[in-house]
Amino acid sequence: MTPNTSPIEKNSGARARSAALFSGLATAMAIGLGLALLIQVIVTPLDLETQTLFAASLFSFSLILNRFKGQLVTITLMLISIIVSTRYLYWRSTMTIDPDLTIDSTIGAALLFAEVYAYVVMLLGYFQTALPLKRTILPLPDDVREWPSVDVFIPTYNEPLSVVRATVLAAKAMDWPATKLNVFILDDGHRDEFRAFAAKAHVGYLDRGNNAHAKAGNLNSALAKTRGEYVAIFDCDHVPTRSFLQLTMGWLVADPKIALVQTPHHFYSQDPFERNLQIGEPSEGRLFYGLIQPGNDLWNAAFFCGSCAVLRRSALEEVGGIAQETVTEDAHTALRLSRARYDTAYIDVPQAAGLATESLSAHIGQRIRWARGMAQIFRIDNPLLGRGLTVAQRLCYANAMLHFFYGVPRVIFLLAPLAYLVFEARIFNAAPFLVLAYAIPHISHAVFSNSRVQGAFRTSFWGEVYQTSLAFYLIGPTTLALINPRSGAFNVTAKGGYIARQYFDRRMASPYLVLIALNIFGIAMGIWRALLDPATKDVVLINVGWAIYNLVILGAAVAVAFEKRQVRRSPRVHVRLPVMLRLASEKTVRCETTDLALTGASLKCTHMPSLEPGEALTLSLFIEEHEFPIPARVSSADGRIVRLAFEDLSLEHESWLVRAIFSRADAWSSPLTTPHRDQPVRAMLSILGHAIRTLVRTFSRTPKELTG
Amino acid sequence: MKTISLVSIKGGTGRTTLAANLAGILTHANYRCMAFDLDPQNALGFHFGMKHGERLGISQPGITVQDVADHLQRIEAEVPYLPFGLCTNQELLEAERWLERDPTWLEGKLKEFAEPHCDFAVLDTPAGRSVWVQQALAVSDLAIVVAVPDAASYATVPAMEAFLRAYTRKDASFRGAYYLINQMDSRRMLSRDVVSAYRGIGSNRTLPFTIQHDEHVRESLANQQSVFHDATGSQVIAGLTELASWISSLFGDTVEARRDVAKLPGKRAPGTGYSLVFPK
Repeated sequence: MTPNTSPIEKNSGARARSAALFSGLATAMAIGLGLALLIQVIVTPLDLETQTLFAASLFSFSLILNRFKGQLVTITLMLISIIVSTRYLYWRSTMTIDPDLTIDSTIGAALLFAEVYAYVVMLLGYFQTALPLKRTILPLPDDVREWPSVDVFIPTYNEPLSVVRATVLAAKAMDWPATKLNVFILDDGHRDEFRAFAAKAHVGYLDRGNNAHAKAGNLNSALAKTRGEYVAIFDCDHVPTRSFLQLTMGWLVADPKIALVQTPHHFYSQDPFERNLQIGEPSEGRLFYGLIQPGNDLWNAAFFCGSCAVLRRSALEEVGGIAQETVTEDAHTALRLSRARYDTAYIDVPQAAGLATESLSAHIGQRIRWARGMAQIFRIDNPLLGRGLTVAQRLCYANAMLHFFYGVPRVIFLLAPLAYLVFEARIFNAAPFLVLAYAIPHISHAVFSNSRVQGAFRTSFWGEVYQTSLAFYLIGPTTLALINPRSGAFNVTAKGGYIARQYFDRRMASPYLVLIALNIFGIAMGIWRALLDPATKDVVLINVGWAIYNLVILGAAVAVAFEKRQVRRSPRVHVRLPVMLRLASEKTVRCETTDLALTGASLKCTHMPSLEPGEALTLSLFIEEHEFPIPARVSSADGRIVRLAFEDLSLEHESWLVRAIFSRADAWSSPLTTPHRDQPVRAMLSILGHAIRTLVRTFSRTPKELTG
Repeated sequence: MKTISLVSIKGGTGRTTLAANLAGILTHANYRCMAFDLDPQNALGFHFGMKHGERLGISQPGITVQDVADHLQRIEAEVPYLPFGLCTNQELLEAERWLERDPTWLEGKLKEFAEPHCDFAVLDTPAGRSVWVQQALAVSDLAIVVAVPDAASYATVPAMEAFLRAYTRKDASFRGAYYLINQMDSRRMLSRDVVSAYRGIGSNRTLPFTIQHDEHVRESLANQQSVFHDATGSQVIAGLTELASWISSLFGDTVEARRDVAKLPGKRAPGTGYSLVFPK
């Protein structure tokens, strides 16, 4: 305090300081009080009636709260769910565990482990998705001369040229100054066919002569041979729109700290769940690309997904190129970029579309690779350790990896009721109805909050089905990768194949058929036990109920193994475009497409001309102000639908078709309809329906068909 | 009332047919529209059911509104129009001299026959830069240069631009001169290239759609049927609909739209068109 300060200043200074002190104290006290209250809520054991009353009123309160919109309400509901689940877990771990080491308590500990895993993933998930960043598109500078050079890498290994062509042609058609756009096919299959196609299409062709380190090695080899300031990477079946670069490059040009802009992976074909179960929106990937990545983006933890993204070359080179140590080179590279203090960005606007996994076995193969890769990263470059990351980034990356360890917990959950039903093991050391009074609110709040947070992106309970269908297969690879991260080869997800006949993939389904059989056996044993000893009625009832729930989920998961026919080979979309037919008589007919593919089209005409199958005509596509005539032949013409086949298309014709199907900037934006509203009860009933159908179909087949 | 001229330097671009069809589609959209033939070839009327040998025409000195109304009623016209009329060479020369002396001749005629009742007047002009076209441009609110996608047509663009600059009005009531590609056949690469060249003429001076070459059009004329009856599902109708929509939005604030242009009703009852223009 200087001698020159006036008494007034001294006074007001003192007042300000004491006010600050007071408010600081008050805040600390409030937080302390709040924490104390919270801890009380979590740890205080209650008897059955009081617990039930407490749980019921809290749930009712949540139901009322849910009527209000807004992210603040969502976060409040998340917090309530966390409190309820923490309360459950505290009670579970203090009041239901038998301290003596017996077989029963070991099984109980395994179940507790699974529950703790689920709890941690739920917590991290809430954190990750608390405030999804809705990043907008940043425009590029007005002066086109300031736009940077971009290399487009399209790595391929064993995919057929029929699939890769569309990607190459569309990449070439992207709106960007031609002198600053270079498209490269990175052919790890060393195929002449691809080399010839590249020459015809006037794109680059790189063949490194070897296959070391699979896709990562391929990309690094190309990095060494090219010079563009930015690198856009597309899987060979991910066809970009014309506007891809215009919509993504803005952020990279404006902010030198950003090393990556990622966009969603949108699929124009159905994945095995959609095709074999006929479930509609939202598709399985929507949760990740619509909620989790935007959530990550807020915490600067959005990560590279291997395709549909643009990276800054200088940043990539700084971290040593694409990471080659794991099989999920994409996530690992993003982690390294984050450690090097680069920022990442995610824009939730689909600007490319590709093929979904085409069969359950292909889907499982893909997820095994992701799980293995994430486990490898967890071992050799753990995000919770090491330098360069913020706390939030550590939690987000950790959750991305922990997610893939659900194999063991999921199988534990599927087998848990059998512990009592078959072996009479007491894994819950508490009265049955008390267990319900704690467990039901825990589960209900979790389902309820997840429905609120995720409902627009994932229908309730379907997550269980997705996880169940993969769980068994993830156990081996993740455990192996955790123990020895350097083992295991890279297996490429097959693309471009097709399923010729309907069949039941019994090999893939067999572990789950076994689990179904075990659960049924457990139910039968339980009922028998309850009939013999009515005193055990309550415990049996709870476990039987649990086993039935398992059966429902397992039934739906097995249903995915009934593969339906899938005939189309080449990219095809349902799109309504105005087109014109020019007949041999030089007359024209105005039509609208219903389906368009590189091999043909289906049209609707209000005034049907008379057409003979085999008749040659010209189909004109109108895109903006251009007209593109494609020679075609009539396959069939009945009622109001005309089917055309395209034969012997020139490269020019093909590139027009690619533009018509894929290149429009709004090609993958759905019209402004109301977002998907999650209805948990209806979802459960739908899953139940699938389960029942599966069980009927499974048992109506002979055992020979099932076991082969 | 808004006046639209269809012009071109070369012949054979399909100007007359397009003028007839434009008047037709505007009438179908329930605009009150009348077509005028300023071409001594006198071909416009055949698109509306006029018989050979009909002498009535705008070139006739003593023609009255009642004459026209009677004629239209007689042939049960769907679209009201005024032919050029049959002229001998001598009569034609005299008429042209008369026009040179009286720059407001066409203006006066339009005032008399169209302005009282019409939303649009569509003027078919002869090929070239004759005095008929000069007067048509002078009274027009919109000029459509009908072009075909070949090199010879594109070669006339500079001459047409100079011509337009000389004879169209300089004030804001003139909404501009636009190129429209007619008889388009995109199978020919040359056609596509010429269209690209036209599109490069300057900020959107070429309309973003084309009128397709379609055999329906020639057949309709040969059958003396309206293309709106015979070819409802054809691209030509779609193209004409786009043209009418474009015109409608160009003049949107000044012409009262009676009905959504995109929806075409079915066959119109005979006589309904002209009766919109000439109320009894």
